[in-house]
Amino acid sequence: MLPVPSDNEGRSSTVDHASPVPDLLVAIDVVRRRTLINKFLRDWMVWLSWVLAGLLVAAALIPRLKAVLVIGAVAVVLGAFIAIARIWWTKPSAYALACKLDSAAGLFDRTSTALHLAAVENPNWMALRQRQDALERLARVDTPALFPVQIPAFARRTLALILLAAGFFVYRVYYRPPITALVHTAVNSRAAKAVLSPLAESMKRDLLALVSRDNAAKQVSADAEVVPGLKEARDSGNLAQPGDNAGGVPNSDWEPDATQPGQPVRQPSNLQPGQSSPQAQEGNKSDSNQQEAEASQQSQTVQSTERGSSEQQASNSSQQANNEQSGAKSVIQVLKNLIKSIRGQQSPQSPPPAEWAPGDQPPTAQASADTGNAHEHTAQGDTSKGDSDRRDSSAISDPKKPGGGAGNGSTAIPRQGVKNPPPVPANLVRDRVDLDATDFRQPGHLRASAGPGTALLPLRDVQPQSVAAIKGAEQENIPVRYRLYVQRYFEREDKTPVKLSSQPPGDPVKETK
Amino acid sequence: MITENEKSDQPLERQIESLSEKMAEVRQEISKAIVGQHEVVEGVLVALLAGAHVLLEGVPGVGKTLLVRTLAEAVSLKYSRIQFTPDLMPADVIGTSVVQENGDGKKALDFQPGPIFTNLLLADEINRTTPKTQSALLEAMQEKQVTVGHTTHMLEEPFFVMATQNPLEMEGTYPLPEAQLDRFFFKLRVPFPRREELHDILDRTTQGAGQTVRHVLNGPQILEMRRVVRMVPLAPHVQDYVVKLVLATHSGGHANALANKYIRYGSSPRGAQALILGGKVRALTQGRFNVSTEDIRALLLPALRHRIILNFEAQADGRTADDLLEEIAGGTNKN
Repeated sequence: MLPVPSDNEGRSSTVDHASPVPDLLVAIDVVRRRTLINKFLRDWMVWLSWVLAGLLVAAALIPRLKAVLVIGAVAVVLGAFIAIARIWWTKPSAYALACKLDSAAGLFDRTSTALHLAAVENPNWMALRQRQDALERLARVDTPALFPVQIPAFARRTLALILLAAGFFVYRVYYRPPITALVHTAVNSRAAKAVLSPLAESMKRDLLALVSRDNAAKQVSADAEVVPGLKEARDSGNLAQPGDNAGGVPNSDWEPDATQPGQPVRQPSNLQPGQSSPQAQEGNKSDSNQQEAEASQQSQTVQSTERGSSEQQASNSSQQANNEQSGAKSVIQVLKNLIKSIRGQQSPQSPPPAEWAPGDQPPTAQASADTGNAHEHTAQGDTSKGDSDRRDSSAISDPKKPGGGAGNGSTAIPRQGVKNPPPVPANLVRDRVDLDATDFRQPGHLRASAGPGTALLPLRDVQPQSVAAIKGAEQENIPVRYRLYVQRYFEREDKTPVKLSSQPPGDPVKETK
Repeated sequence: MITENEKSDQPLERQIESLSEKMAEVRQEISKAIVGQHEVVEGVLVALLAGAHVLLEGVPGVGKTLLVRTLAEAVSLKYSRIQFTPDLMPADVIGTSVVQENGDGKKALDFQPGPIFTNLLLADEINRTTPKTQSALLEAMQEKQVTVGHTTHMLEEPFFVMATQNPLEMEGTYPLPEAQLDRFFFKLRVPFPRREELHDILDRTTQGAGQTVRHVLNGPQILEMRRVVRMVPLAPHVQDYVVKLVLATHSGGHANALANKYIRYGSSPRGAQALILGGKVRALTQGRFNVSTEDIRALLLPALRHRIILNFEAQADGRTADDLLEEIAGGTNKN
């Protein structure tokens, strides 16, 4: 059975015409064997190189050396079988080999033509003469010399890989996998620690803050059962809330419990920022004279704190709408300011408690903090400012109570359910001037009417200043109507209260009597 | 080993053996008059044995006409020469019917054959005549016959046309149409002789008398050789190589990038026939009994250079048909 070409691609079909060309087939078989051997060597060495590379990687990672060796040996043998099967499946036809022989021996296609003509039945004289010519020329060709068994060009690379793998396996007999050891060393290295330590410290700090907050809450609840009156203080909300300054880490997520997420913050409609509610004013009226004296001594300090707090408050209001984190920073800054100011107040009255933990705030810090952050604590409705004041009084009244100090930021007491405010302490600091009139919020033009028997007064449209002055110019922020009232009060002889008519702004009316 | 059927081909072996000898003798005789130009002589002989026509292109004075005349003397064939001019008419080439008076005084139309009725026709400066006259050769070159009126006249075999043209002087010329060009088996470029060849030419032509060319081959022998040539076997991969080469000259799926870029139209099937027939002749003249891809490659340029039409971009880039064919052959796998 002689394979001869059946199409132009050199693919062979089988024709029973082998007998006339035995010599031709012998020469072609030599070419076939050498070609297949060379192809096998090339393919198998490529496979061997990849297997060796894989073994090196596996031996560097996997501790079990014996398994790696067994898998490698199996892969090498399997690759050899696959290469043999692949070569046998794609083996060239006899015609293709004849063409190859023609090209290598310079036979001018004599062999391939003779092989093709071998399939022709009843060949003519020219075909027989051509076959004879091909065999004569082929007899002079040293076919094995033309097709030697060639070691692939990359055999040196494969050999180097073999040596490397052998050396590495010898190393592995005595030592651990180097990659594993390297990773272990790298994890414990100084550089890795230098990289990872800030993260670890941060995580540790957060964890400690969480634990301390939890412990403080437990401690407060335990103290509430032991110390009488602490429960009322806790109910009134004068105690610090959890996360105010626990462990020195601000908790920007903390909100009063009365304010549910998504619920708008309620604020007294008739209050401007910085004004006291009527309830708070009533509480302030019930203070004693001694308290007023002390309050007057401390009022300047508190007012200065409030000024700083109001500035902070304005900035916090705009920042909170944009970024909650910046609000937390503002809270921290406010707390720091309050701590500084209240420490100055606290020193002549009472010594700082010795049992304060590091990071805890002085007892009055909470009050100032609440004052400075009144816009955040108005969730209790119109009692926000009053809460602030009451917290001040409760904190100052009993600063030495363990866990009940107003400045202890670790106290976590819920503020909901505040129905009856506790009695106002004696040393309450009044931070607002009480006003009898309630229509001072009307902006724009004011109409001043003169009393009976007085001369005609010119009416002026005076625009109240919209921005509070700072550094001692805060009196400029007093409403014009109040100023007129005071001025007229001192100008009148009977000292009766002056009635101011409320007219819509921008509509001055002249009155004559 | 030789069967009865093969015994009848015994003279064939002698003819093949004598073919190589005869061709060597013809080369020898031609070399008496022509100095150098071996490739041109070889091409002319191949075309002669293949039974086809040759277009010789070269500048004046390089020996084109002398080559044809010497070949005609060497092969002992009837030789005619037509000097193509712009006023040449087809009747001047193929002949015409004239009124002649018989011996009894009656007059009748009698066909007077033109110079085309010969064995070896030299169409000198064929591009100087009009396309009308050029087309008079179409039927003669392909069908080996001439039709005048309603009468078809067969040409005598072997009929072999050798045309010449000057590539430089293009004024007042009529380039051959593609149909005419395709009928030429080979287009051979006659190069200017080299230094040593020029010395030899001067010595031969300026000293003494020229050598006499003897007849070494005749018409019947040439016809027998043509029959033997067609019996030379061809391996499938060689034929496939020819097909791939021809297809590569056409723009489209089988063409390479060069063909798509520079070739307006590729070779006709006559080009493939020329390659195979020429390869067979070349194989026999070199003592082989089969066509090789080397034969095809050697005859690629003369067989296809006039069969591909370049586009304007090729002319603008200065690319020639020979350049493109060389690159196409280099990019075509032989097996």
